Amino acid sequence: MSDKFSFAKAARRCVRLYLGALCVGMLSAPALAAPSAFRASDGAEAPAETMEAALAEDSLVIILGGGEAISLFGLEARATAPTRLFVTLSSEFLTAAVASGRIEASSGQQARAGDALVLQIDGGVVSRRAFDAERLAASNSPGAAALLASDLNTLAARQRRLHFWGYYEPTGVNAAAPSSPALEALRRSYLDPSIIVRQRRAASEARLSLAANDFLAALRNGDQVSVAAMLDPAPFLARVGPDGLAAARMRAAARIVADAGLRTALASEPSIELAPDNQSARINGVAGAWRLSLVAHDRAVFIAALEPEIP
Amino acid sequence: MIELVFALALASEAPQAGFSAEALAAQTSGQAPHADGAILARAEALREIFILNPEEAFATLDPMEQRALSRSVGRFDAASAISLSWFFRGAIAHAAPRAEIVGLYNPLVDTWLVMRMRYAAGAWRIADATLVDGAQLRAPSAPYWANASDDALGALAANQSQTVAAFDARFAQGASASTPDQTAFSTLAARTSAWMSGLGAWREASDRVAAAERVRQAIMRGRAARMAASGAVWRGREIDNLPQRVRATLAITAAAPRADGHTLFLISPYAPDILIVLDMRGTTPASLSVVNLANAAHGGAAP
Repeated sequence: MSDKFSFAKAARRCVRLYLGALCVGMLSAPALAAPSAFRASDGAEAPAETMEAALAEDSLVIILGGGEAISLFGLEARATAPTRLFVTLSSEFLTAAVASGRIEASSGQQARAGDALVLQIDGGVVSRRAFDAERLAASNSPGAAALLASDLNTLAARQRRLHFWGYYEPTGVNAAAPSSPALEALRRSYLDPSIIVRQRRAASEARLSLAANDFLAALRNGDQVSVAAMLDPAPFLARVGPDGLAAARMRAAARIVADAGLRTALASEPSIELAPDNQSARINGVAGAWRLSLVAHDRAVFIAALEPEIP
Repeated sequence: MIELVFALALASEAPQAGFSAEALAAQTSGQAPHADGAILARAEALREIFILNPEEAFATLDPMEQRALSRSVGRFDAASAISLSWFFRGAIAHAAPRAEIVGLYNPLVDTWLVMRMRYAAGAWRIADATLVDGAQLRAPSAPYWANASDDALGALAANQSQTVAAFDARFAQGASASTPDQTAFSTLAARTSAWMSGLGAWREASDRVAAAERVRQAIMRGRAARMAASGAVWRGREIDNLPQRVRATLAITAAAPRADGHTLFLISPYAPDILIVLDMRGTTPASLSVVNLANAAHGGAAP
């Protein structure tokens, strides 16, 4: 009798297992609330709310539980299984390479281990590509290497077999650095701050007014980081180069933000008129008009000057 | 109360000077330490303005820089504007490590504009400039790639990687500037003229121009892969994966006749190290490939 199958027993067992799983799920839910992100250089954790800012400085390893999602500069994707991603921002692409697991972009593309979802910063198109796990493993920073070595080694072995059978063909384009390394470092120094990346995702005809509005909003809010990111990089680069750019622009932004007179004059959301030459905007402030000089580099718009208009 | 009103009146009546990034950079960046990146940034900025309008850009330089460039490159006037713009459009900026030397290298004509920079009046400026033939720089190794009898693209990639290595070896760590290359100017002029004449001759037949233009438009829209011809080398998919702004700014920059048609080179000023090579057999696209010179120069494989 005891060896016979009992529907009642099986049903009770199923209910116990279901309730147990539900409890485990509830207990562990807070730990899975947000993906974990770690800096590629040293493995230090990057808080979820500052992931975009962290990406401007370093590549990230992002660990997602099944069902968890990421949203970075408009690339929105959800893990359909426990997933480890290597995410990097270049002057042209945001690339989320799947080292293990599976993700699905909100635009429908699915990527599994060995695939990468690639967002073109200009235009915002998302595509799926394969990446070379062996080259990534060989060139990875220590923090990322520690977190991804096992996944990438497994993947590299699989890719070697596929390459042998002709399924893969190496290409000459590096998504992490589409230009020469020195030029890529130069461009990243001024194109990667999140406020500039968001601007470049906008249609080209909207970028001038977006730049003017973003800058005035940052000035009103005393947002020194955004003011710094929007200052014309050229005169700073000519003095300090890409390595010193962020610090030099932050010092300059501190002066601008500390200028109470300037902030007061532009405090009440003044109207903005773009000039026909697309190189300046007229700001109608409470105490008079201002001329905002705009300059484009690599199809992003920066602020060259803000000066009172001569009556 | 009265004092508060007075204070507010003062604040609103105070002269509002605003700011300029140029002035702020001068005030907050201090005296520039030596920085390869700053020198590279200056070279890239020069390249950008020289592409748009060499004559106007030249006029914005200070007299020291104008003299240096005039001595090496010649006149920056309306007559030379097209060829100068052509040179800078396809030139790749490269800074020698830990030295005040930067070069703009155009791989199609295998020629460097080598510039010695000096920090003066708050910016890195051109103190001296000279043209150097790539073949002279890397002598006695590979000659000018266009003279290679076979695998011209392989020779082009080899020229690039060898000449960058030779440039670094010669100019790194403050080594003296190059010995003036007396023949470089005439060599550059002859090669530029040959490429531009080739382009002009190719443009004479409107049907083949239209056919190539259809391929260029497909590349710009990210649809090169769809044009694949069976059995041909057609790197459309790889080219579609290039950054959008590189594809959108590609222009047919050079043309060379072949026995059965023409080889066309498409270059974007944003990424002059990426060459798209289109072989046309009459009005039929025969093959499409891409050479990433940046990769070739750093140990990567060029297709």
